[in-house]
Amino acid sequence: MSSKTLKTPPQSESSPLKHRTLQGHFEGKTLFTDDLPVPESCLYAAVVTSPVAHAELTAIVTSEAEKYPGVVAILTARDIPGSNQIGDIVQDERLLAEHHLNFIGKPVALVLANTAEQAHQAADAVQLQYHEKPSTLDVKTAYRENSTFGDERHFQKGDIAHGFEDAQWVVEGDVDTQAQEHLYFETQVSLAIPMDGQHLKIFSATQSPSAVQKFAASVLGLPMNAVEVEVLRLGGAFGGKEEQAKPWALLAALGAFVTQKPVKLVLSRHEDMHWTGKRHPYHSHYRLGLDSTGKILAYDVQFLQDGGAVADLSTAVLERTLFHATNAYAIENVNVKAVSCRTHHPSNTAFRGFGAPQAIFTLESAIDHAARVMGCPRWHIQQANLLQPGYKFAYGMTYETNALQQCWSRLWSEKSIARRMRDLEQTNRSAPRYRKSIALTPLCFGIAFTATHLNQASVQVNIYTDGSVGIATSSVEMGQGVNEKIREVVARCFGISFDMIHIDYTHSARTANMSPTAASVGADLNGMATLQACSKLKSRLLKFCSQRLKHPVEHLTLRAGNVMTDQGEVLLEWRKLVTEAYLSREHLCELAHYATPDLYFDRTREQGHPFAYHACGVSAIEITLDTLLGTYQVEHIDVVYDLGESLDPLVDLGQMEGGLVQGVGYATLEEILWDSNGRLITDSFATYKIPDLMYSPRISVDFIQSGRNPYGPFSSKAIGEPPLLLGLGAYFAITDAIRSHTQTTEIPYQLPMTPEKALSALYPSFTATS
Amino acid sequence: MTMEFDLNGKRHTVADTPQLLIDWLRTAQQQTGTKAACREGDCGSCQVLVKEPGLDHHFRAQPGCLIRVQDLHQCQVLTIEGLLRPDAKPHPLVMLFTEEGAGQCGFCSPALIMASLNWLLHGPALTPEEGEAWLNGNLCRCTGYMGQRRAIVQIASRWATALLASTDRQTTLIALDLLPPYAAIPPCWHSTRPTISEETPEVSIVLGGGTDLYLERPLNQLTQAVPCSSGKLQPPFKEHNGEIWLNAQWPIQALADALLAQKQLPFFSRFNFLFASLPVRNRATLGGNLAHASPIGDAMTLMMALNATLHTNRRSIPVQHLITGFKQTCLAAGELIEWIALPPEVGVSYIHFDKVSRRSTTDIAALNCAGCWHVENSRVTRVRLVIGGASPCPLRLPELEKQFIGLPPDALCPDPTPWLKAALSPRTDHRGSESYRFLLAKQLILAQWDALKQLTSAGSEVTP
Repeated sequence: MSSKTLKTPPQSESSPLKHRTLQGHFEGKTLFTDDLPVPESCLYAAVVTSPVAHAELTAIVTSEAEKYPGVVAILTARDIPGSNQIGDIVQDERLLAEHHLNFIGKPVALVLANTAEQAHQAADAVQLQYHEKPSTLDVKTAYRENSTFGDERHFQKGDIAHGFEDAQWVVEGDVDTQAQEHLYFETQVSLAIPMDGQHLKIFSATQSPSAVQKFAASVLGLPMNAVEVEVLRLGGAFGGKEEQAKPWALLAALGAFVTQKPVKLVLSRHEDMHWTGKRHPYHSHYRLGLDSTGKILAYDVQFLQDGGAVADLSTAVLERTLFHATNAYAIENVNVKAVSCRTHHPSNTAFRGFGAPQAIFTLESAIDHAARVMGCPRWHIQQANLLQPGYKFAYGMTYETNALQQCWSRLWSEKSIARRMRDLEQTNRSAPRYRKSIALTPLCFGIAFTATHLNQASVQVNIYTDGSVGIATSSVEMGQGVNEKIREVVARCFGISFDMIHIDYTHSARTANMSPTAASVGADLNGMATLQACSKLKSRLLKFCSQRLKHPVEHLTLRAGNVMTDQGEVLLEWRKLVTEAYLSREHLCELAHYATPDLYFDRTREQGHPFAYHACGVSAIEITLDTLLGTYQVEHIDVVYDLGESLDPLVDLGQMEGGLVQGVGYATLEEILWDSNGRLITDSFATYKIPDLMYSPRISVDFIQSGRNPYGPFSSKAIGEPPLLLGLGAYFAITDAIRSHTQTTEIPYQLPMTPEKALSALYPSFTATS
Repeated sequence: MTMEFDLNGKRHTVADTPQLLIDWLRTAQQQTGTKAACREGDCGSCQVLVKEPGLDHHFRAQPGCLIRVQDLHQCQVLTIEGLLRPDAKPHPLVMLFTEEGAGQCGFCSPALIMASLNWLLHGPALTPEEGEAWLNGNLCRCTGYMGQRRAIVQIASRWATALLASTDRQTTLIALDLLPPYAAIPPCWHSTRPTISEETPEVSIVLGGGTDLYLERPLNQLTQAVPCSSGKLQPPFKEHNGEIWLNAQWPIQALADALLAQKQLPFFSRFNFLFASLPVRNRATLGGNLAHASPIGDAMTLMMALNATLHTNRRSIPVQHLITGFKQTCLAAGELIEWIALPPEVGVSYIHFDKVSRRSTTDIAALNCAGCWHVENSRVTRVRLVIGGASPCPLRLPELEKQFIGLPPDALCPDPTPWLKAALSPRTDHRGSESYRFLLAKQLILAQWDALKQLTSAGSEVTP
């Protein structure tokens, strides 16, 4: 095993322009969609939405609103020239409501006015008439009422009944995980511009430009080639702009098409929080059987997912829950059932981790339960069941590496886990006010879109006659650094410096039929396609050079801005090479398409090879709990993670650190609250709290490389989603500390572990005795 | 009338129409480097540096979403665009944050530069720990803040020594190329800004910093709002017959900085960071926080425990008489809180303040609790205990206080539950349930007692 510790990433001396995009961010020069200069005649849109969770819509009265100053048009479903159907996986979603209001925030009408303020004032004056109906706001009720998206899915392995028969210990219980708001800093935004009558350009802050293109065309009754979609970059997304940027882009497009004027639509923070979906809340029920040594013999679990009002991506999210039900553990007898339920919340959607956090928290809860019953530390059961090479998952794929074992043992040895645990247990025994605790979380996360067909990307590489290189990818930059990684791939292939490589904005005319930038695979798919395109160009250029210089091609290489011999002799400058190749009419552009090989999945048998590889890591989270006030500090997180060869250490470090803190937020303080009518209560930064700097832990990351990875450019590996899951252990660290103070307390397995829940668990008898 | 102010060294004259600075910058000026993520002063992404006339003559980072353009009359404003150099050489702070990977999506990035400059201008120690507190008002959803922490370490190691040795940090920062030369221009000292006293007070809404008012009401309903800024020409605090008088119209952070520099009221700096975020503290005034009469206003709880007296332009009011109901005060139209007087005994008290919220900093309290303890001959002789958030206004607990009289601080804490149950009427909302608030109130009293034990124990660094 080769491994290395990443400390300070390589600094700017060696590559002064490596992170010039980031430099532009700090200089405020980076353009986001809302920063684009607005065309002179631009109209501003405001959306009229359902004020109730469930109702039959009987009338939309716009007569008053039409008289408001500045109002140009008020559009409803009747004004849609094409199809009103915008559901992707399931066709169950209308762009504008016709008769059915199914959640608070369901778009009903679009008001277009000369200013945003005028549009909002008129939108408030549009009256909706409706008959309210009883709403279903809770997943268990929805399941009882048989209100589901599709049938219950079922993964199994071994003989579950047999496993429980042999078990010495059996624990059973319930787990609830809550919604999580993406809280991307840039709210949903789009700008649609009509071009010569039958053609439209949409600037949209979306992770799925092709989905916006496809549905805009369908809504407007146009072919896809009449709609251009351009994405500059996103001010954060985390899954929240994969499916749910679409309605707002389509509404802007509708407005622009009907009025033949540019239309800008920006959601306010409150609108965005009220109207868009979140991470799916789950209710799950587990049964776990273990032998006397802590080996898990059987795991039986059912997941009920709150999908919200329409299918959106819920069934895909649910599928990943099934895939990750056993997380990082080799369990021989497994029975997993999962179903997505329809409620009257805004449709829940993709969020970093995509169904895995709910699955993994459930199994970790079951293990925690077992550990308490058996009187052993939780890590003991975790260690006894860690994945071994050769284990076959319930879905048929074999776990092939020993990366997880490497991460686990390295964490223990390098981070002195055993000593630290001993020390803090000893301190806690003296009954101090502030208690400390460490919780470990192992992770195994499958890398690929579980919808096999999405595992493809095209990249266009253009070498211009001055030697500079422009790249059009199928991926959207949203802070995850995919563009930096692509530039690294190009720089390595051509041996040129970063300042010569530019990644274009993502544009539907430059690369077509793009998969969403999601599932942690943006850099894998687009990096591999880039590699293919660059390799073709490189061999073409070297062949040209070989002929021109009469030098055998196998002894030529591109390095440090030159064609060199393998002895290091400079033969020709890159710029000169390019110019000469152009004059000799060599093709300097290449479009490559990459489709991840070896992927298949048979849903009738729930068996196959859905992932290119598994990403593995282990975290140790240390917290301090104030047993007097129930407040806590997540002090420190140590992580060992199998990253492969990093394409950009600074980007990868940032993904790890940022994902961990999002996971800690999910586990501890981020709480979505609804009132009894389905109205969101926590609808602002003031009421929905994400970690701030002082709340956040110090993080030390140890990236290891467990072996070659043929599915990532230069043996790199994915890192987008996995870090979030490694933050879940914060819940267990806090509850461990609570139990060191109040042994008898029953703490429900419920996220998030807020200071309120912690204090109530510390003093369970308070109400009873006083 | 029209308003005049400088933006990035250039004079602008704007009409007196209601408009937020953030919108004016982004639309009228097409300067889009200042970002708006929450528009309610919580995220810190729209921070700009503002130099106000009459204050301490320095730029402070303030939230662009909670400032009207009208409020900037005779001020100087510096935005990220103002830091870009004509020679295109990157700003040293920009390079540092970039090298440490302190940004990802880029939306919160420019504001980090503004907040760092604010820290370098005003931070008393310029240590990495201090930097983390001073940049805590800059929320980020992407990075997990480790890049920011690394950058803060670099900033401190690179510039702390020079700045701590400097008697004029602004000049030093200009010399170090961290501030542009025009940052040296002082704001106009002969402010012609209209204030409440010059207007017809009866029709006017009085503004402190406006950080609460702008959140609660649309701007077009605040056309008559005028800042009570006349007091800003007065010093931040003064001594008067052994009392310390705090200028109610100074921004909370500027006041805290001034007290710390003069080694006055050490408890103020200890608890100051719990009040809102730094950009809001740079705007919000202590008097405004009191007059807003929030049931969980942090300042009210503390000032009640300190037995403060408010001096308005008309009379003196014991602070506990200010609030008459939920967001109601006894202030008459046109009556302004000018000074907050703390009695001499504050100097010989043990003072402790706790605030429990979902997030430990930059959050609104579920409950807060302040105690002002007097200990003579190792016995408690007097105490004022106040809890906020468990009744329509912060509540003093005189019956509970009696239970502590005569006790040595190392005694067991009497169970406060019966007195709390009798006095408090907490409600259930998104910040906590009724039963949680009862339990938390009890625990906060225990925490007061625990703190007193620590404060009075031998070797304690904190003395009254």
